[in-house]
Amino acid sequence: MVAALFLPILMVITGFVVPNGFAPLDTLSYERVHSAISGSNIVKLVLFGVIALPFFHWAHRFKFTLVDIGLRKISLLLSVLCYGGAISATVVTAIILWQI
Amino acid sequence: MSYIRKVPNTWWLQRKPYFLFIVRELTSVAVAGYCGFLLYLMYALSKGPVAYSDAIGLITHPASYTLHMIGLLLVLYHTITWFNVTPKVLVFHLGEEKVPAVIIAGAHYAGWLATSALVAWLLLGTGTSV
Repeated sequence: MVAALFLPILMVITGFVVPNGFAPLDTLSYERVHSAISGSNIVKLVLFGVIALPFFHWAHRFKFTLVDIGLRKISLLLSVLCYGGAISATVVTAIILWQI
Repeated sequence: MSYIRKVPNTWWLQRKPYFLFIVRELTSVAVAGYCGFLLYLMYALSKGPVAYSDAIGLITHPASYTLHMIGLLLVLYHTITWFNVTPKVLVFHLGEEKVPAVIIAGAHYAGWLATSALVAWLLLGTGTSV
C-alpha cells in the first residue's frame, strides 16, 4: 500500500520535476533536505516507512513469482534470500536514518 | 490419489491474463529498485554535503530519465491494478446490498490523490522551510 500511494509521486518529482527545472533548483539541496530530516523524528519515521516497507512488498511478490515460474523446489532458499534481504534492508534503513 | 497435471514453467506465456499477472508481480522489482535509490540518497545525506550532491546529481544523468520512466510505468501499473482489486477484498454490506466497487476503489484513488498532493506540497511547495 505504501508503495502504491507514495512511489508514483516521488518518482515524478525525482525523475521529471526537479531534473527538468519545474521546481526551484534547491528543492532537493543538501541544506533543505538535511534540515528537514535531521530536525524531525516524525519525518524520519515516515521516511523509514516509505523506504523500508516496500522491500517487503518486493520480497513477497518476487519470491512467489520465482516459485510460480518453476523454482518451487528451492522455495525455502528463496524465502530466506527475499525476506532476509528485506529484513536486512530495513535494518540498514534504520541505521542510516538514525545517523542523519 | 488424484491426478495432478504437470504445469509447464512457461504457463504464464500461454494466455494474456497470465502474462499480465506476471508483469504485475514483477513491478515489485521496480518498487524495490526505487526504494534502493532513496536509501542510497539517505546514505549519501548521512555522509555530508559533498557526498549528497554527487548522489542527487545522478537524477540529471541521462539514464536517470529512462530508468524513472520505466519504473514509473511499472509502479503506476502496480497502483492501478492494486486499487482495482480492492473491491474484491473489501466487501462491505449495507443491509442486503454490497457497497459498490466504484466506491471502494474510488476511495483508494482519492486517498492516492490526497497523498500525492501532500507529498508534492511538502517537497516542492512551501511546506518545509529551511
